Amino acid sequence: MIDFEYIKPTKLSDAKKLLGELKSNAKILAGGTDLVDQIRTKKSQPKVLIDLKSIPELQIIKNDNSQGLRIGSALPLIKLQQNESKLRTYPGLLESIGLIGSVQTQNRATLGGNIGNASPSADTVPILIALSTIVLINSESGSRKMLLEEIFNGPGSLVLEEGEFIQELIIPFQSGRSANHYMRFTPRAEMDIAVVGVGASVLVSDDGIVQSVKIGLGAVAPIPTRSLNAEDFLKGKLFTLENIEQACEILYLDADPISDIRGSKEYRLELLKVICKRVLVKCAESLV
Amino acid sequence: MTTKKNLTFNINGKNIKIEVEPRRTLLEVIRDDLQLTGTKEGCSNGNCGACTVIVDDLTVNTCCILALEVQGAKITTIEGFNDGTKLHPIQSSFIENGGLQCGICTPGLILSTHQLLQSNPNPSEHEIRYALAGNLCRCTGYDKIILSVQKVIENLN
Repeated sequence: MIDFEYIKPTKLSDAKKLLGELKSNAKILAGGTDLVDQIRTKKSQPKVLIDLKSIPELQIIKNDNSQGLRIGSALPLIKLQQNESKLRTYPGLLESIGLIGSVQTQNRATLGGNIGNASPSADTVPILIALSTIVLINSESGSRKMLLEEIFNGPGSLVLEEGEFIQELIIPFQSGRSANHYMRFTPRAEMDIAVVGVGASVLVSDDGIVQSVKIGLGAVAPIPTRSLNAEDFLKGKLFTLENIEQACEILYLDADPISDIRGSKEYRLELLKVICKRVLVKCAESLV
Repeated sequence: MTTKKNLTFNINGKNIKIEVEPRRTLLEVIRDDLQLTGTKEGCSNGNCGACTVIVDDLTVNTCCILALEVQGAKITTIEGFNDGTKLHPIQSSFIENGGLQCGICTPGLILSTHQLLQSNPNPSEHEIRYALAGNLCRCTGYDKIILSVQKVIENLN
């Protein structure tokens, strides 16, 4: 493996300073389940690794009445699974976490890493987008918040400035007649990468009208994205199978998949309809 | 070459203090420095689980962890499992039920089974298969591994 320095700050202020000074020479290490292999295969060649796992602010999981559920970016996924009660209204997030790698991976991997890696097929991202997740970004020059869906720049790249890092995710509370789920398609049941992934969140009125809906798409565009067309179609309509099927027919307007070893463009567009329909039907079935 | 850094941790009940380069993985330190070769190297990229050990009560793939990340941690490898002196019921069951052939995947599978039974003493077949999905075996076809785990549960009950 190439040579690099390793620094493990224990204070948020130290991390900000280090990342501010080192800029693109530094790479952030969280769970390492992707990064260590990227370094071994020379896809990533950092001069310094900054391990953010010992910073208390990046390990939180707490309900904040004014904002939503706040999750530290370097908290291992297993801690989310162990705090199931805090995630009760986000079943889709737990579903997506359960699909990431193996138990060994889930014991190390983090939401910050899954986002920061900026893979178009990241499993937690479509559902986090559907849940209107806000990202708290910090740096030496101050903090800012942005919607998760605005953070992606392209495969492997975020819009963050040098020295900026993801501190936490804030997921707004879900209330009323709402439901959210995530599904993906992979040739193997476990240990695989999504050919298509869909996360959806829906809020329905007492008389069955869709008040709000968000549909996050994975692995069908250079970045994780939303299907604004399908969302607009569903809004104000009854949440019926017929309307769900019609919405799925226009998903292709927001997708621009590549053909690769996992599937051709045409195959992905067809799968997208099938998976999205299953997700929305599951949402409809879990509404009370 | 980057300067070596001090690293202390506990492995199989023994306190270790060594100096390591930041680029060395936990797998390399366990196998090459500590000569604990029960932890195997398979794919080296986090897919096969042959390098599984327990770090602070959780199974991890040591090929994807830098040694310096485990500063202060408590580690158990297959050599220290069940004190390393007598067979654990999980190990006996794998032997009795033919849950292994070449043996490369076995240390990882034993430790993953252990973690599963710690958190879920009565898993269904589906839960067993899910929990062991990160440990690849190229010999047995898995059925005898699943059977070995089911027999442990039967015997413990």
